[in-house]
Amino acid sequence: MTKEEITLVDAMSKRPVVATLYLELAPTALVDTEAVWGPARVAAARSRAHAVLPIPEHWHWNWATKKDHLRLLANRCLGIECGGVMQGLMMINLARHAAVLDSDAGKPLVYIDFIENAPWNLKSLVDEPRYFGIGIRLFEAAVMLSTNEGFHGRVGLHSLPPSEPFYERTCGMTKLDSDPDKEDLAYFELSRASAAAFLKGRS
Amino acid sequence: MSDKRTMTLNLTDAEMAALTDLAQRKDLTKTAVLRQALRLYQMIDARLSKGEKLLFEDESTNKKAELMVL
Repeated sequence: MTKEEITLVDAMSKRPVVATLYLELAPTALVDTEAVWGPARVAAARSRAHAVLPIPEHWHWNWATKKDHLRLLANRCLGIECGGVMQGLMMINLARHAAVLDSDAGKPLVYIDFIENAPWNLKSLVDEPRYFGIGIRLFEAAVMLSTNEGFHGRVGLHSLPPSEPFYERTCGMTKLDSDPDKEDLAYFELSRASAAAFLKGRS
Repeated sequence: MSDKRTMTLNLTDAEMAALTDLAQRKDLTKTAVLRQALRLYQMIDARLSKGEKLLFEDESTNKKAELMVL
């Protein structure tokens, strides 16, 4: 299993911590992760419901049911592990979508199907997250994968509304129209030029 | 990524011309075009095997045509 050493930020101490980025997880890793995340997600959602607080839209996601995606070459799942536990997962597709921005129209990109933090890292589920930096590290991994696949860093995704500012401002993606085929979620795309700027900013 | 293996591929002039054209238009290397082709073929075959159909739609004429994949 190919992996790289990366750093996250411990939310409590504000210090960097060493983590592992897995570039190609096996289906069993999704099942194992869901066995830990699922109960934590449901417990946190119940707690917020009792407190009459909003619950994230994706709280019902189940990574174990996504394991069959990995039967296809076009799908890949990446993950970040820290402290012996998976802290973030990202399912990408390499062949189902093409870029739509004028400069890249019709050219292949890495499409992020699903990306999620562990429940205990979500500000929308817990008061004090354990680790920061998981989302940006996974997005960076998607851009690097796109580069390595010869897609020149192009990335596309449909964003849940609360995450839109992250993709637009932090990641430098361009917001395009809402997609009626994707529950009217807005489509975001990182062009070849924006990918180069993003990676330059991360180095 | 997974370990990669090398193979030799023999193409006709026409096949090589098509590969070169696709690589230029899609901004890909020839190797990347072939890897994309394999991903797509496998993805389509998996869905056809489940009984789904592959259709092309012309929005201007509202015509749909089913593509037969071998």
